[in-house]
Amino acid sequence: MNQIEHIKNIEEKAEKKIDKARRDAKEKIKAAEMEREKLIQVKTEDAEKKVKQMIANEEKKAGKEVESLNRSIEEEIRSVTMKADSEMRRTVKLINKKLME
Amino acid sequence: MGLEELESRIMEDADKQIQKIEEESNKKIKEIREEIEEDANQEAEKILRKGRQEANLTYRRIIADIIIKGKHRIEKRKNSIIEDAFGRARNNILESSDPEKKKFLEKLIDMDGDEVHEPQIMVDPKYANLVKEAKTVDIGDFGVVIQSSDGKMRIDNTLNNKINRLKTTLRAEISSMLFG
Repeated sequence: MNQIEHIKNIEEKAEKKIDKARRDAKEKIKAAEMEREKLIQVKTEDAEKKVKQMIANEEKKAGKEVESLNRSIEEEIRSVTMKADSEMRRTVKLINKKLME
Repeated sequence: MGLEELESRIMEDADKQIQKIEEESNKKIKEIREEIEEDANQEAEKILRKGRQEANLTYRRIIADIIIKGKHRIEKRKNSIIEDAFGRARNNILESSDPEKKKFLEKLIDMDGDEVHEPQIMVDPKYANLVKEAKTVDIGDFGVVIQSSDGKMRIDNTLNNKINRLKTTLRAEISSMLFG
């Protein structure tokens, strides 16, 4: 009788160990699932930082292009003004002639 | 089988089960982590893809904006030069001698006088001495206003009006002369 009791106790003890292992495993799986949001947040924030940097780089690149374009525009304005200066007298004469017609 | 052996067998079986549970849970955790990693990477890639497009658009927007502004500046400069040409032409007339002004006013009357029945010529008081037959009315500019006696027809040949009409009709020619 004592031996049967003893074996029962051993079996119960073994069952408890198994239950505990099951509970622990469940907890660990739950914890792993809980990492989802955190990891997505970390990766998302990292990607957003990269995007900000990409935009800043493009703005910088465009800034250099803008300087060059502005120089071309200034040059074009100077050229337009010079050409017009040389033709102004003839143009004014034409307008005056047309006003008399 | 002895008691000790039985006891040991029970514990061994339990350990085996526990090991199996742990192996399965570890496998499951590994799968979950891989899935999370993949989801997170996909999410990040989505943001990066959109970001690359945005960065590209940012560059193009800045360049397009500066090109448009540049074109406007050049156009504005051209318009100002054209305005200057008309202004100079106007000043040429206003600064001319009285005989020349008189000749100009007479030309303006001749130009459209025949179009109007029993024309009445109106000239600003400042220039009344240049056209004797004209009625002196404050028309606010050099030039003449020709009006029929019944007032139904009126031709405004003031200098500003003439220049404004020329600005429309002569613009292309003037532009071509000044800017090639």
